[in-house]
Amino acid sequence: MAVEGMVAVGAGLAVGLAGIGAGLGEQGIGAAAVGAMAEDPGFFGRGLLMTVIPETIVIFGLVVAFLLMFM
Amino acid sequence: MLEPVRMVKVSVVGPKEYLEVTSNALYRLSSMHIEDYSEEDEYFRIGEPLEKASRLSKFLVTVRSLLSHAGIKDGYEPERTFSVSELDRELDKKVGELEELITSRINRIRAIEEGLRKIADERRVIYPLKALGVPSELLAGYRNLSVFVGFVRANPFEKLIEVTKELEVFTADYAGEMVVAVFVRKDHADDVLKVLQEFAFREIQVPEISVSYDERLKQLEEEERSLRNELEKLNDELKRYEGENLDLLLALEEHLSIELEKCELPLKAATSKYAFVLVGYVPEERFGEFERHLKEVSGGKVVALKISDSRWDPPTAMKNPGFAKPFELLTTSYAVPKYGEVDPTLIMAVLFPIFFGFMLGDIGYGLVILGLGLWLSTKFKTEGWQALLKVLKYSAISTIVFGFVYGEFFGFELFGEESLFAKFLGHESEIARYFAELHPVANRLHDAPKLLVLTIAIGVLHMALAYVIGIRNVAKEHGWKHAVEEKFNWLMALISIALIITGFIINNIAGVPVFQMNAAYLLAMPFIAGWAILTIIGEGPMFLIEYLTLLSNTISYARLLAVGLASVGFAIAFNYMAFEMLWPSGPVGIVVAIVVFLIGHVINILLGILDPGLQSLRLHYVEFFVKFFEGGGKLYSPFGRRRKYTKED
Repeated sequence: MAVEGMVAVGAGLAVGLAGIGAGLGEQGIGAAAVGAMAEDPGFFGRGLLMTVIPETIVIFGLVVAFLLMFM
Repeated sequence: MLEPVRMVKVSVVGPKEYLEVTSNALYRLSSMHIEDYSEEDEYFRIGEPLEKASRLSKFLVTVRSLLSHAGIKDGYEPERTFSVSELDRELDKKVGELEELITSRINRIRAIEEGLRKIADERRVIYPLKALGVPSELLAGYRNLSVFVGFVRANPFEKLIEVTKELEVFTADYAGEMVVAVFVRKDHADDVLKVLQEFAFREIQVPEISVSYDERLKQLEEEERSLRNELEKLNDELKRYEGENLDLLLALEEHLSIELEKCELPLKAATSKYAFVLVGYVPEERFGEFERHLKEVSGGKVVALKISDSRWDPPTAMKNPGFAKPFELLTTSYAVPKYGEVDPTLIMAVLFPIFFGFMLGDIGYGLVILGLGLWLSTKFKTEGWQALLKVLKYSAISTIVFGFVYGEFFGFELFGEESLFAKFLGHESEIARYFAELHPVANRLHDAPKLLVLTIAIGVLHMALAYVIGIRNVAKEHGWKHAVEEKFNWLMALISIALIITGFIINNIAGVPVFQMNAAYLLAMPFIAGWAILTIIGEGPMFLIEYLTLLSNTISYARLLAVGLASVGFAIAFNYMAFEMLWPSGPVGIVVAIVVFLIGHVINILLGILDPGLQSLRLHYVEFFVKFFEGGGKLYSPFGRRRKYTKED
């Protein structure tokens, strides 16, 4: 396989796997946050905050993909 | 701005007879956040509500029950407002009158609904009996016979004759079940019932009717029709009455709740045999007026004093310019700032739309969202919705501006050789040539690496601002030493990270190995050392691990670019499918192309509101607020409220 092809596959893996990781992280937190919000709607802000924290992982994957594709 | 309104703690003291006057005055001023008095002792007790409270609350219950029947829409605007004196004068008469007019009808409506339910019940019984074909007068009223009428799972005849041969069984199928009537001598009744129960017997209550089933059904139908007519008439009348009196009802409700609140003020006061004391907070700038007004209305008998108390726990009244007001909603849904803290609403009001626009950045999408925001704000009038929609509108405007920066219109390029006009009008047309010569400030797809660096830079500046505010907050609360050890050290860490990333970029451009030493790396060293020393002194060595968190925070700002690229990617894909693949394939293709284009962009716009909104919020909540914002304050809610349906004379 040509180098470009390998790079593209690598970039795809970086984003895809990071996405799966973030999803796994968020599922538990999200469920708990919704539960807490049902008890007390005032929890919305902090619930949202906690839920999106693992999302940074995807951004890492994305940055890696960027570096691979553009640099 | 940036800081909540300054408060002073006050106590209002006066003779008990002046409690009502004071209550009215405080309500009118609407500036005192009253603290509940809770520690009773030998001399002071919690006061008792004024005498008229019970009468008022009785009226209020009536008015509210009438209103609950009227079902008012959100954001209802009254046609006229009533003056307080007018309402006071007519209170007894009006409430009585309305109660009679409306309650009598509501009661009649309930009775009719009950009647309709009975008719439906009877009908449910008659249909199976009609299927059975035995007249109802034959189904009851025997001296020596028992009759069982009901539903069973299957024909019980075979089993029944095992009990006794002297019986008569009628069966019929009705709606997938079997209806049965069993006539049997009284002395066998118990045994027969046992057998029937094996067949899951459900009894039917046979109604007493003297006419045939068909005739009875006709009667019921007529009865129902007349009841329904009456119901409709009553409902119309009720709606008319309520429509005519809705403003009055709303005004009464408001007036009564206000009066009741005033009557219940003593519950917050400490009262002795002859005097009362109220303690609370008043904005500093309004204290002069507050003091003067109380003196005036009480002839100097009630005094307001500034007090300095060890229990200094003032409420937070956020103070922001008009355009930033809607963003208070976003701040408070994270937390209410403490009194001494910086209120980040204004910063958020400026940066939230910018981040949103930076991510979405499309003229077409911006226009659609702006239109949507304008339309929805005529539909949803509640305060929360209005605030949220204002945030959306600001964000839409920012999206349009960034759309010009990126030169994007529904995913098409607006400027350059491949512009929208070149695509549809041909490269030869005047307009296409004109636009081809213009170039966007930044093309997101081609300049992605540069924009990536820009987002990181934005992130570093954003977080640096957060640390600066953090230094101010900690310095104010715990002194400069703590501020340097807990916040300034992280500012140094942030600078070192910025320098390391710069060094990385320099090496990358120069084409040398990434970790080869350069000036930026070298410059970062003293900052890292300074950070490490301060952190170990201030927060302990464990906090050194947090350096990585800060790194991830910095990279997190790459989402400013990433979310936008995803959205452009979608848009380009839909445009490609619609106009390159489907459009050229004939008339059917054109129709499908339009459908694909519309559906695709509707989905993309919905995602485009949700995702940049959430991400921009996240950058503020997670990356920004965490560095300085503690929250946990209580919102300032002064005694008194704005009148909507009533006015004071």
